[in-house]
Parts: sequence; C-alpha cells; structure tokens
Amino acid sequence: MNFFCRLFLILFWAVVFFTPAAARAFTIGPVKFFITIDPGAAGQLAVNVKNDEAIKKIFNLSIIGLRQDENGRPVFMSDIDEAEKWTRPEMPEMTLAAGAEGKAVFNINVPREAAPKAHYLGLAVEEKSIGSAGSVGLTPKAIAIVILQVAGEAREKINIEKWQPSAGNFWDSRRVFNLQFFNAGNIDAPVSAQVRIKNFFGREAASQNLELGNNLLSESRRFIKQEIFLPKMWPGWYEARLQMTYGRTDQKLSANARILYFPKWIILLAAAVIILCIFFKLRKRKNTTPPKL
Amino acid sequence: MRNFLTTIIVILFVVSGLGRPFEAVGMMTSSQYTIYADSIDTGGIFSSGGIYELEDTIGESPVGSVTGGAYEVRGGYQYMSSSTLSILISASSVNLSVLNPTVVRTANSVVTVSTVSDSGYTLSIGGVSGTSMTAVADGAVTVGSAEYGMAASGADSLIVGDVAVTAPLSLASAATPVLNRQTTLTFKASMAWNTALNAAYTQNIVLVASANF
Repeated sequence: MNFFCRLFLILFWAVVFFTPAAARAFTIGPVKFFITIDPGAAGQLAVNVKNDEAIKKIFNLSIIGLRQDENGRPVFMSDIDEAEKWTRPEMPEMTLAAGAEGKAVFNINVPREAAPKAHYLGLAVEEKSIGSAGSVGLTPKAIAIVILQVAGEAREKINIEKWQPSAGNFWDSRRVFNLQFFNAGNIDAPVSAQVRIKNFFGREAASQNLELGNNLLSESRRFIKQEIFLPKMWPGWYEARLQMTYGRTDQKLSANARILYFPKWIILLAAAVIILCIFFKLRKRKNTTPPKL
Repeated sequence: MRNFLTTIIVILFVVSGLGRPFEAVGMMTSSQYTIYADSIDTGGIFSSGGIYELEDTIGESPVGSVTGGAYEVRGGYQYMSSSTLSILISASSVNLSVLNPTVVRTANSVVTVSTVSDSGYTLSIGGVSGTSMTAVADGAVTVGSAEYGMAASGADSLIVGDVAVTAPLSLASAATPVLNRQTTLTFKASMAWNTALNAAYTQNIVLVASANF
C-alpha cells in the first residue's frame, strides 16, 4: 500500500474517532405521540431521556397542557386541559449519571365518562437546577407533544371569523387580506384554502393558494395575513372569494370580500380627460362671449 | 514492518466503522414498511401511503365510518415519531452585576437546540418566577430608566427589540430539522437615578424546547 493511501486511512480514522460531538445538555425522544384511547381505558407512553453532560443530573418529570398560538406554534400552560389530570409520570423525577440514558414512563387513565375529544398534552422533562441569589437562573426543559384522542365521534367544524382586505390604496396590485378562523370541532383538522378573484360579471380574473400552516387544533384560532397579487384588470369592484377545505372529511367553507381596483393609468387618463374637457369648455366660452362695446 | 503497519491501519478502519457511537432508534426497513419503535408498547407495524401514516396497533385504522363532517375514532391506536430533541444552555445563571444609571447592563446566554423532527422546533419561555424590576414596555431598555427586559438573536429568533420576560413567550422557531441551532438571549437592565441602591433581584426562567406539530 503506497504512502498516500496509508495517509488517507490515518486521517480518516483520526477524524472518525476524534471529531468532537456537539455539546448538548440532554436529549429526549420520541418528541411526538399520537394515541387513541377508549373511555375507561388506560395507556402508557415512554420518553427516552439521555444525559449528554459529564456530570450526574436530576430531571423532574411532569405533565403540562398544550395549545396552539395564532401562528400554529405550541404553547404550554398548566391547567388548561382536563387530560392533564388523567396523566401521571410513574416517578416524579429521575437521576441519570453522566452519559446515561433512562426511560420516563407516563401512565394515562381516561375516565369512563370522558367525552369523545382530542386533548393536547406535553410530557415534560426539566433539568433540576439551583439558581443563585441576585442573578437570572435559566432552566432547560424539553417537552414531548401528545395528541390524545378519546374514542367516539369526531366532529369537524371550522368557523371563518374574519376575511377582509387590509386598508390600502385602491390602485395597488398587491392586496393584503386578513384571515382568521377557529376550530370549533372536537378534533384537530388539516386546513387549506384558495382565493379566487372574480369580476362584476362573475368571471374569474385570478386565483391563488393560501399558506395556512399546520393542522389546527381543536379550540384553537389562527390568524393569517396573506398577500394576494392582482393581475392587470379593468377598474371596478371585484369579489375575493375564499374557498377553504378542512378536516379528514374534506369539508368546504367559503367567504367573500369586496375590493375596489383602479389602476394608476386609469386615474391618469381620467385626470387628463377632465383637464382637456375643462380646457375646451373654457376655450368655447371665450369664443362665444360677445365683445364688450 | 510495512505489512504490519498496513494491517494495523486496516483493522482500525474496520473498527471505526463498527465502533463509532451514533444516535439510533431501533429501526428496521423493508420494501413495504418501516418499524420505528419496536420497543415501545405497540408491537405494531408502521405503514405509509396516501395522506396519513398509520401504525396499526391492533391491525385496524383509528378512523372508522365517515359521514359528513364527522367520523368515528377507535381506541387502541398509538403512533410516535422516531425523532429526538436536544437542548443545551451555555450559562445556567447570568448575573447583571451592580446596576448603574449611566449604562445598560447586559448578560448573555446561548441556547442550542438540535432536532431531527421534520416539523422543526419552537423555543419558548415556559415559566418565570422570583423578583425583577419594572418590565420594559417601549421596545428598548434605555439608560436612566428603571427597566428590565430581554432580546433574542439568531437565525430562528422571533423577538424584535427588547421585550418583557414573561411566560408563555415564543423566542425562536424553525419549521425544518436543525442541528446545533443557536439562539442568544441577552438580558438587560438599567436603573433610574432615584432608584433605591440596596435592592436585589433573583429570577428563574424555564426555557422550553419542543417539536412543532
């Protein structure tokens, strides 16, 4: 084997063994669970926790409620979902040696009288830390998301609360629309929508798909600001028809908004015509006025 | 001597391929299905196709009959993603030192998040306890005003300007998997000329990282 081949192997081996791993405090996995349980039944979820540091760590285990903010991101708060009372960690805390891995087990007991509904929880793993007086202490917490569905009838219903253009100039070809909708059903639903711009005669002038983000959780609200691009159109009133499709049953929902469009060239043309009319009117009056004696 | 050195190099090469530690969740694949979590209490098979990915815990889909805007959800179904999430805070305690009405005191801590979840992550403040000064309200902690707040910077930062330290508050988010994505949190405080000089504040902030839906 020649010199360069050996050198390559030595370097490869050095990189493989001596590449430092990225520094991490702790790791959890899986990060998302989806479970369906009958009323009166029980379930169990397990989160693997790994202490990535070089010292022993103690982790507090807990349950927390979960909601979505208006952008679809998870928001964690306590005492917002009754399922928080159904779920308990087997142990309130776990101790992991440096580099060690453990399993945090959470038991779920659904009451017999629980109604069919989707519940959203977080399985929280928080590093126990002690702050010092006169300082700001920072404690890391990692949470695995749980979508817990109590078996039964799932009802999908979304209400469009707002569909209107933002205030703007009527000659703008880019219009911003405000869309707000709420999931009034008892289960999370995927959502998608399309906007069709129709003229006074009902003919479609433009269409555009909207980005509505991830699934909308039950009892959550989403607010979208969407820019709609208008093509070159004749001036006048137009209708922006929103067609929304949601849920696993592909429910349809629509809403309308009116916009006035006056392109700049029409305004300039109208102004020019008006000026010319005034000019010729004045000129005509001057020609027909009898001279003073 | 040459042959001995060559043999050692080859052995090391082979061992490196077998001994390199790696993050793994027991995963087996075939042409038809992938088993992601055979150690979790499911014993089921993960199958993919169409719009929804299902893990048949008891050999049945969780969705039953469908009519109009309603469908039946069946119990006994469980699915989990195979992804992991890591969080690291560079400094578990930051000290803003003794305040001075002529300067805004700052202190930083860097939060590093890694996840292979295909929906990305969100970093937020999950809880605040203890005592603090008057929260900033005008978007900037300024010299000579008794204010306390924080700013966040990084590729995924959601914070603009200086904001009050409250919970819940989303600090950073990404919609794709990330590796060692850093968000720098800068805590700021300033005091007014007429502020009592012997006050001390201690606050604890819980920083939460989770995958997105």
